[in-house]
Amino acid sequence: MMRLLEYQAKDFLRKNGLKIPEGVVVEDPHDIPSDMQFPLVLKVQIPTGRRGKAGGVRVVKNPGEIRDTIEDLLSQTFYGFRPRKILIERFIDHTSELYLGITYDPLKRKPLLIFSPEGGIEVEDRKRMILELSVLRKTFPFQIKKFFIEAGFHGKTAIELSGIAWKCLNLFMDNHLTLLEINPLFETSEGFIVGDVHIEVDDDAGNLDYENEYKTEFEREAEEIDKIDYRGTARLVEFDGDIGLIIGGGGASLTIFDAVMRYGGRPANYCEVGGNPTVKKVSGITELILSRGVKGLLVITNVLNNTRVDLMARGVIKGVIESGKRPDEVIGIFRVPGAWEEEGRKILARYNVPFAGREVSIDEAVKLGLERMKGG
Amino acid sequence: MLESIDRNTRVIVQGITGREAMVFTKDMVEYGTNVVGGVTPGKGGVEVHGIPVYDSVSEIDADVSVISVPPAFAKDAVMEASDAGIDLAVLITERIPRKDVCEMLEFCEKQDTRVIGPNSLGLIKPQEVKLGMIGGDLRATQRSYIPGNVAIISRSGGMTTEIANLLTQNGMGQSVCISIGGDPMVGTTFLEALRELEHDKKTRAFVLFCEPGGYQEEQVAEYIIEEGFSKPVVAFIAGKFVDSLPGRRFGHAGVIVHGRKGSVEEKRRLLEKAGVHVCEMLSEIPVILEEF
Repeated sequence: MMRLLEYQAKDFLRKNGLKIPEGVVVEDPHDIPSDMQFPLVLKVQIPTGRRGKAGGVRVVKNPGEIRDTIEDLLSQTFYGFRPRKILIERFIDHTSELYLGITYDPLKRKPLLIFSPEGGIEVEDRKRMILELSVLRKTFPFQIKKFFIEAGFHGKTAIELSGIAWKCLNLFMDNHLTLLEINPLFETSEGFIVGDVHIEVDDDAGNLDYENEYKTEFEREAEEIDKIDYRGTARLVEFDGDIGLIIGGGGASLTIFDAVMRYGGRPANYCEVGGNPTVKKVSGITELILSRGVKGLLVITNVLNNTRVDLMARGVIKGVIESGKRPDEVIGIFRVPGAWEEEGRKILARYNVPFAGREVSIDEAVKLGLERMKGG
Repeated sequence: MLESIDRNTRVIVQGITGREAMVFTKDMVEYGTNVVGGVTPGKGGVEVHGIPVYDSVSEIDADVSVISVPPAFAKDAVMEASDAGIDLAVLITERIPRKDVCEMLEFCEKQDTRVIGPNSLGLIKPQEVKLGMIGGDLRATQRSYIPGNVAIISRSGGMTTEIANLLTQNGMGQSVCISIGGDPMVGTTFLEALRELEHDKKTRAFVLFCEPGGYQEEQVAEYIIEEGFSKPVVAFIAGKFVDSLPGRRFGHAGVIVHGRKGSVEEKRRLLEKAGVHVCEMLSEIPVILEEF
């Protein structure tokens, strides 16, 4: 699921007719427009919530403070993210903070409309109302109106709120969102204004034109390698350890990563390789991982049904050699039980790389691989 | 439904003329699955591995459909199967839009059609029947899966086979293994699979392969705490490291509705409270099962 940054999500809502505070996005303290009305709210643009709690949201009362505050925010790390952009907005005077959310309930398998008259960061603990919706049956505006009337609203407020919720529901459905959460929704003398919004888009269907700005250079390069051809997939995420991992598929990668940590290894990357990738793709990610100065490489997957072991072996060996390294020194273990296993075994034997099959468990393979790295 | 599936169950394959489906259909037939037909709209009249292909599910009398069609056609294919009276749809297709999944599952629930998946590798009863890609070809499947009395229910397709192989290496056979699908929203949850198979005569214990995110594990724990469960359950939760990643992206909405965050730690705590044995390492699974 791709999470939009706040300023992207607000841009999306504004284009679709919802009220958001006037503001600008800056990357540089020198870019501040001169005609801003104080007080202002400065918010770091990172893909996570609870930014206020971490000091990532500041109120600035006069022009003298703004540049220093921006410089300060851009120099810090919040929940592991270094902000690249700051959203500067007009401070909104409000009488109350509400919560409005739409998401899928994975257990009920229904979309839900969730409302709380008391929004804010501790909204989980406050009173709320939930309307179960359906994709199969249409929802009509009167049902949303009834929901807010039952929530205790009347007159113009009830109609305005149901109008916002109706609009959000349609945006959610039409744009394949998986989460649309306005929190807080400010109640003001000028009507309701979106204080903050969290939007997630379905990777398999959504097509909103916003860029994911929080990928590292490593992750961008990995994506490029994955795009070389359509056969097989390779997803990589960077970590700060020194053990390179070529692991797969999904559940197995999680299992293997945990096992590496459990045996005292510090992974340099997370990785999901699967679906019978080509030699080129495997050698590409091998080179990329080795370029980050790792002390060794573990190549481990679950028991595979159709991925060809010989192609994986060829790819890894090629990547190691092209990185100017020796396969027997770099690869701690190669545990890939799958199709064409004998051929794979032969290739690895030629380079003195230890191969393990299905008779060696994932845990044992990790342990053996790490021990071999220490020994070498 | 899940308990009664055997080699007499009449199975069709929707999307049978697709590249992947042709391969796993052959593997299923060789394993002994009773494949009575296939469906590919516009290809009615041809044969695949001697199996007649039809244009519509309504033209064949069958109990189970294994569905492997492109994501854009999956919703219609599943609803078509349900409408034709199929009891169980095993949905292999991955990357189906969430909205489509939600719509098809509501449709199937109304019709009382059980759906496994989307993004499932399938289901296997070793030496009896297999539905979908699970296990691969005949020889690979026979190496990983042997008959016995442990049921495996897994959110990861690959790990279904990995765990079966681990048990097989330790001389422990399996009664039924289900890849319930890796998507956030699936037609058969852990709890639904457990409840359907609780009284399965061939099963004496269950293994669950769990992952971060969602609330399926918590739901199992709460059910067992309230209602009890008559057979031992062993769980392994992968992805412990995910809890410590910065900026975890759980929205408030999930927490509001379910009151919990889908973290590995929370899943472990609740499952243990329910008396489920949660293994620290994967290789502990056969050791723990030995005790039951």
